[in-house]
Amino acid sequence: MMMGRPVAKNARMTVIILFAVAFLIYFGFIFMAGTGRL
Amino acid sequence: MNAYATTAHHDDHHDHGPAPGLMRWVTTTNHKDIGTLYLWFSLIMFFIGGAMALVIRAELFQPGLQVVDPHFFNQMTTLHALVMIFGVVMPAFVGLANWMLPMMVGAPDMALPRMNNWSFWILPFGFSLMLCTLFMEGGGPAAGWTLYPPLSLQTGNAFPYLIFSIHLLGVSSIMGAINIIATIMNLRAPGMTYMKMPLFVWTWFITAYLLIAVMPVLAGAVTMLLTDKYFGTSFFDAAGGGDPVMFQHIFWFFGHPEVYILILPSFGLVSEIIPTFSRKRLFGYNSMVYATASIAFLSFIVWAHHMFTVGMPLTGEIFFMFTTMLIAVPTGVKVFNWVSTMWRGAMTFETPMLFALGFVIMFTIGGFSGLMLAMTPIDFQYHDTYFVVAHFHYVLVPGAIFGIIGGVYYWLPKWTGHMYDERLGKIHFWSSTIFVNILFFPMHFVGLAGMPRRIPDYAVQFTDFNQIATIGAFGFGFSQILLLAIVVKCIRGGEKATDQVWEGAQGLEWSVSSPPPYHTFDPQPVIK
Repeated sequence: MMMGRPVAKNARMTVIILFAVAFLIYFGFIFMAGTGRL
Repeated sequence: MNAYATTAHHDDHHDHGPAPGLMRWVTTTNHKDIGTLYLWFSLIMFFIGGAMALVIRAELFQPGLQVVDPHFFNQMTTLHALVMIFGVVMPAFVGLANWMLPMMVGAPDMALPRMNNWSFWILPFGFSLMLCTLFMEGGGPAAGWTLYPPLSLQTGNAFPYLIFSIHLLGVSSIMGAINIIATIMNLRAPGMTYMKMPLFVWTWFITAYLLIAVMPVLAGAVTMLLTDKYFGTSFFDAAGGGDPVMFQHIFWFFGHPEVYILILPSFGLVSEIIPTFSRKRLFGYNSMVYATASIAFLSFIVWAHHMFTVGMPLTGEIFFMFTTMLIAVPTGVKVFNWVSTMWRGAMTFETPMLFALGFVIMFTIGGFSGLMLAMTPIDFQYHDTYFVVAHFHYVLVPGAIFGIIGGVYYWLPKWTGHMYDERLGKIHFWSSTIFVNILFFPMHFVGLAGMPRRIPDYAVQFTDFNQIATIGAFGFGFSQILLLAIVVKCIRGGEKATDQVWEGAQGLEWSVSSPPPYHTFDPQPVIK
């Protein structure tokens, strides 16, 4: 089974997207709480 | 660099075993080593958190104040919870995932091995920060693990340490979760479709999404606490236009999915163990997956059942009551599937199976008391009493922890290459089961009679049941020394384990030797 760059590249995108989601939720909640939207 | 070059470079280093000495554990990127680190860390924290529980139970043996002063008692209740949740159950699950997920999906390692090392090594620093507060002037955090303001804002010097510690634990969990998702999505062996994955992989897959969704919410909540205390904001300060009840909503928006983070992987473990020792395929695999996903979805729309008595519109109370009760449906699907798997199976009762059966029965008791608490009018009576303590301990101890212990016994021969001592394992199960019920069952009665939680003193009429509970606590605590002895004995030697270990075991992890080689599944197996 060829295990090289294509798989690693997919994993990298998964990681970037998931970290982005986590940061968005973190700052999103603080922003919404601070601006009275919660 | 092309793909072939990358692979060739990778293969050059592939037969290397572990580095010698202590540095093996510090610098390792091997999923099995990191799994081992997580599991040992979890066991050590289990004894630390357990010692705190014994301080609590020793104080509650009699009414009045005997053993510790009330402030220290409050520190114990707070830290016991934080240690058990973030230091025991979650790291144990991540440890089991690290060890088994790559082997179950036919991957050579986790997708992000270096991040994996980092996820683990953050934990000891995080907990050092948290536990060192006990030695500070003013003591450790004492406002309960829920950290409700304004009470939590009265914490002394321990406060910033606690907040930073929670941030670190959150970062570690999020990195662990991302690693698990990336591994499952990208490194499954050819032919292993999502609906062929073992249930433990599925439950962890869903749990990892829950973690990514809610750990940042907790981080946001504690960041706001920090800025309220030190930077003049008033997110939760009514005098400055903020709202302390908003903290409770935000906290439980994290906290309720967290409850499922603490139980879903145990569902997966039990779903692996029961078919093996029933010598049957898991009944209703598809419905198990959908039930897990349904529980995860519902966990986001039930949070306010933790705060019925705080006050909310009637429609809100009805909504949260019904959504909470709805969770009984997918959970019931799971319980019936486990029972149906055993139905007419050729069952044997080795230690992992005993723990799985204990899980099914006692978790269901905790589930039913949860259903009672879900009913808004009744919750006004039960709220903040020992009935709640009985409920969530039934779900977490003979639930989550029994699932973990069952999983450890199940895979211990695979990890070490030796069979554990079955006789001692059975003694461990029975002493744990008897004492855990002596410990937690009486709490239902004192709770229904109105004994409040998180209080070091109580009215004399609650004495008998509290004394029984304390005896159970010490019995359960000391029973766990057996677990340590059994694990150490198994590592040091014993009857040689076969590759398949258990007659009814199925799955990729049983196709490799016991113990497995340092690097497994490169090249990957093909699933038909």
